[in-house]
Amino acid sequence: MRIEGGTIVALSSGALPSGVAVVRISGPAAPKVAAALSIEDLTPRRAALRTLRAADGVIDTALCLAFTAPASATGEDVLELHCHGSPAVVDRLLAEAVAVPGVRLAAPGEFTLRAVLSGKMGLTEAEALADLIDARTEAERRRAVRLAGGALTRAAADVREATLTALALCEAHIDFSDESDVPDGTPAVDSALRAIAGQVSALLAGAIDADKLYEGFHVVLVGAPNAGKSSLLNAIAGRSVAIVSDEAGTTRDVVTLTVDLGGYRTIISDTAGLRAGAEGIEALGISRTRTTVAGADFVVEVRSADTAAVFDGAADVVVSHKADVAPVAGDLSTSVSDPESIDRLTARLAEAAARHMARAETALVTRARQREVLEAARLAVENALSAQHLEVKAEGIRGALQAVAQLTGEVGVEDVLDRVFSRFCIGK
Amino acid sequence: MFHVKHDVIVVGGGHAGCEAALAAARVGAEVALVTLDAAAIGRLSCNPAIGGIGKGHLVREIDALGGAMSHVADHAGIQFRLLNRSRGPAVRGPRAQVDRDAYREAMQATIAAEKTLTVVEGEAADLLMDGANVAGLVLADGCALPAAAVVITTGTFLSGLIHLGDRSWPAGRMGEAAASALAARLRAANLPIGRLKTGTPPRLKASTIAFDALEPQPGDTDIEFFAEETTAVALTQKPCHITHTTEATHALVRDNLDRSAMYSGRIEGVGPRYCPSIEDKIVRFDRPSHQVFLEPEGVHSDLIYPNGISNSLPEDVQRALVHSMPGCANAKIAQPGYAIEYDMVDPRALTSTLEVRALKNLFLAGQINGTTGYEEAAAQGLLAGLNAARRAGGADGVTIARSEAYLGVMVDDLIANGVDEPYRMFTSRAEHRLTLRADNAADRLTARGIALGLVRAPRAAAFHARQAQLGEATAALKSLSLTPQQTAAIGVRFKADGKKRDGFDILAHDDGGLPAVAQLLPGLADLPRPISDTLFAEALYRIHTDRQRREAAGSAAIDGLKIPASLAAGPIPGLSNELSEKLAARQPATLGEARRISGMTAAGLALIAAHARRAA
Repeated sequence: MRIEGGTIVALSSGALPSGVAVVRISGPAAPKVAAALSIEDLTPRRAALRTLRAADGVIDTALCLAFTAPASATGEDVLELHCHGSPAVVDRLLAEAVAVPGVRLAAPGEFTLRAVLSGKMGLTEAEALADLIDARTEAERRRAVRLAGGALTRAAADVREATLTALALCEAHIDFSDESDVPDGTPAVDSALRAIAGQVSALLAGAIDADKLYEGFHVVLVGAPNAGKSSLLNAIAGRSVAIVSDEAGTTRDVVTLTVDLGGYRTIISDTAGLRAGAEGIEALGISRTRTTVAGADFVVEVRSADTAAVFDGAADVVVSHKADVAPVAGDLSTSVSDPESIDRLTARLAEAAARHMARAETALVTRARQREVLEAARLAVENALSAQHLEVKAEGIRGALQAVAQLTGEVGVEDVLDRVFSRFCIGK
Repeated sequence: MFHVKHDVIVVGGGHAGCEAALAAARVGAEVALVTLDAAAIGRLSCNPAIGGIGKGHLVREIDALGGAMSHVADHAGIQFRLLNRSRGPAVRGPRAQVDRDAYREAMQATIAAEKTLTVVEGEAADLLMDGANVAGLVLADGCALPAAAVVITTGTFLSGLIHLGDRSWPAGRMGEAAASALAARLRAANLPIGRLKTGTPPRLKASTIAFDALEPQPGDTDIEFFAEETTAVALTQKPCHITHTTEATHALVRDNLDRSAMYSGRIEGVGPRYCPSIEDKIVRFDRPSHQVFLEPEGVHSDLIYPNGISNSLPEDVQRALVHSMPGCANAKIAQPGYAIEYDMVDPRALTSTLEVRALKNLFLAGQINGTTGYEEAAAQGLLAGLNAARRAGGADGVTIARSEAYLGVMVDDLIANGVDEPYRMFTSRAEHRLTLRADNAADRLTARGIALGLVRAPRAAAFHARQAQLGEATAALKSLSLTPQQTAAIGVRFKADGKKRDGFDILAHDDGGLPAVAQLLPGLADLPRPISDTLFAEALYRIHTDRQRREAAGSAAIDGLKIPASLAAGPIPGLSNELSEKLAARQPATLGEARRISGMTAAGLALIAAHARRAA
């Protein structure tokens, strides 16, 4: 990690959504963030309930705490906002904070690093934290790969490759103009830069698709026709806190039901029964079922004694339905006549939803950082394109590489030179 | 034989040795320069040229610190060219072809003129030790030369081994003995030793080349010299000529690869990728032809240096190779090309003052540190000589930051990362490239040079005059504040955004430049070129350099955290074995140096910082 100055902001508490979320800001611009949220009148080290306001209105009501340097965890000015734990509120607060000049999103472990650097954290704690920081970075990497960001990270690696190549081209024309037979590099560099700008823009457009994550937790019920999926769905609807919507459909369509399970928005889909040798409209329905399963976060396979086990995919939970008639092998037994059995299933679903939303929460930060980094890269590439001199273009490309490096790892000058020497015959 | 105790002994009379001895003497030390052959002092062992892109920056920095290379090269110059003239000022590099004899003679005269500098002919055989500290030098004849500090600049002489076709023999350069005893001593001291390789092309007889058939490459008419004080050329100017390899050349090389010392597998040293042998170029790059520059070796010299056909093929193949190039059908070889392998000390064993960490009072500079090039060697020599003299005088060591000079970038790269191939200066190595320019070397370094005693009175006076002129002009340019409408009146069309522009904005604008500014500030019309060049460069890069300077200041605050030597030596509880070893080997003085250790992690850095704070 680069040790950099400036003011940093991050969500410091756990999974979203949650009852309360803590957004922490550390650095010299922390008081400016307070001012931007209309809470500049805080008394240091004293909690106060305040309304956080942006230019367009109220964001949230939060318990606010201010610390002045050096009497804070990081040794810097610190602002802590204990707000409602919704992704929308947190996302908005992060956005408002980074809009203040000098404020950026914190890198993993950066609060800790600052605490250590300011001497606020002692030797023993730092030793214990050393492993933790590494683990957080590794977790960050895994998360990025597993979630929607995975594709983004791979694409960012492609941007890095293209940028590295453009920089090598640029540097070759600067450092070896008198000793290699390369033609004037500016047009080649510019066309490489235009390609990179296109790549980055496409990525940024893709990053917004990650919003799908926040639609909710997708559960799908699969099983043979007449296994009792529809009756199970109706039972869940009857036991859930609230039915958000109920779309009717034919038996061969996918029926969805959006419910609130343990505080999490959950979308449950009933699907057409799977059956070997189906033809016509029924085959179409089954094909749609498979698509729904592929897009689901959680698969519930419904089995019953009077139907065959036909699902050939991986289910997250297997339910022995109509257990009051004749139980079959499964993780859970349910029956529409036994409300407690339905509660056990919904509890299981709520638990899975909580786990999923915890991951989505980390994706929120990942996504925001990726977007910030890619925006910085795009700006740097645009600066490079508009620059007249190659060495100024190179500044822009170096900037873009530095930005992308936050997603893909550092690039050293040797990487650039390797490319120069492998590509051009340098040397008199 | 009786010898007085010297302050500083410099071993070697190449570019590093000369600058080391001169710098030490300039700051007041009694210096002995020990060389195998006093007549070889200042010899250019490879191509007859000084400077280039990155390298020219280094020569200007040497000049800014009162060094000799800039003056000697100007004096011996027979063709001057400013490379990258079509690019921006940050990456333009002055370069000169020089007369080999005139260069050597001028350097020897500079050495002879330095009152506290004595030349001692002899072979350095061993280091005089005082416990674990170096206390002088022992010559091969047994004579001991005590000194407070020793600078070793032995170039390719350390266990040098020349390869020519299927033959090889120990030598420092063609016709000169290798320094084998000293190499054995350094190996015995357990210093990490690596092995590198470089090569040189055959020398041709100019009188046997048909230049009429070849394209000439003349020098600039508007000459940029290296030294700030130079005003005119001293020698007759001569052009280079360009020829090229042919299909026949390439077939010949391919057919004889098994006879090349390099390709028959007898060379273990690693050669530079940016200075490939002709064998390498032909094997690695599928091109029908490569350019070869025929560089004159002097005004009256009959020798030509064919830049581009360095090789280690047997002599009969070299002859045929030369004859296969246009204009060279009858060219005679005066001295065959060859490859040379030599020992280097892994520069990670050095501190940022170029002192060997394990052998106090011993400084190393030049190719022995894994670099290549006269300019890289000379710049290190200057720093090592200065620090050796300061050690003798009991003063603190001097270091140069990456943000200050290419010299700082080079030393930091060397001691942080070591070398995998001979290290050459490139502008791409400098993250502060737009502020580290050839035109502002004096502004960056001369004030320090004066304070350190490196820069003498006439040069210092010239520098103060420059600073005064720059200061006045800068203030005048900043005092302007014009609307787009007002600038349009003098023909400079900015976007009509109502924003006020100052003189630097007008200077940097395509429609602007000095003529436009002079309409508003007539006093700036007759500024000397070196001043207007710097003002123009500052204007051109202003937005970027402002940011670079801010970043440099910002990172300096965090990176400046000092790491006590006892802490760096380790072990630090909790740090991985790999990082502990790297830390102990590198012994970073600051958090910034620790950060640049390859493989350093955030956690590792946090730990080191915590320990450093605790120790402070």
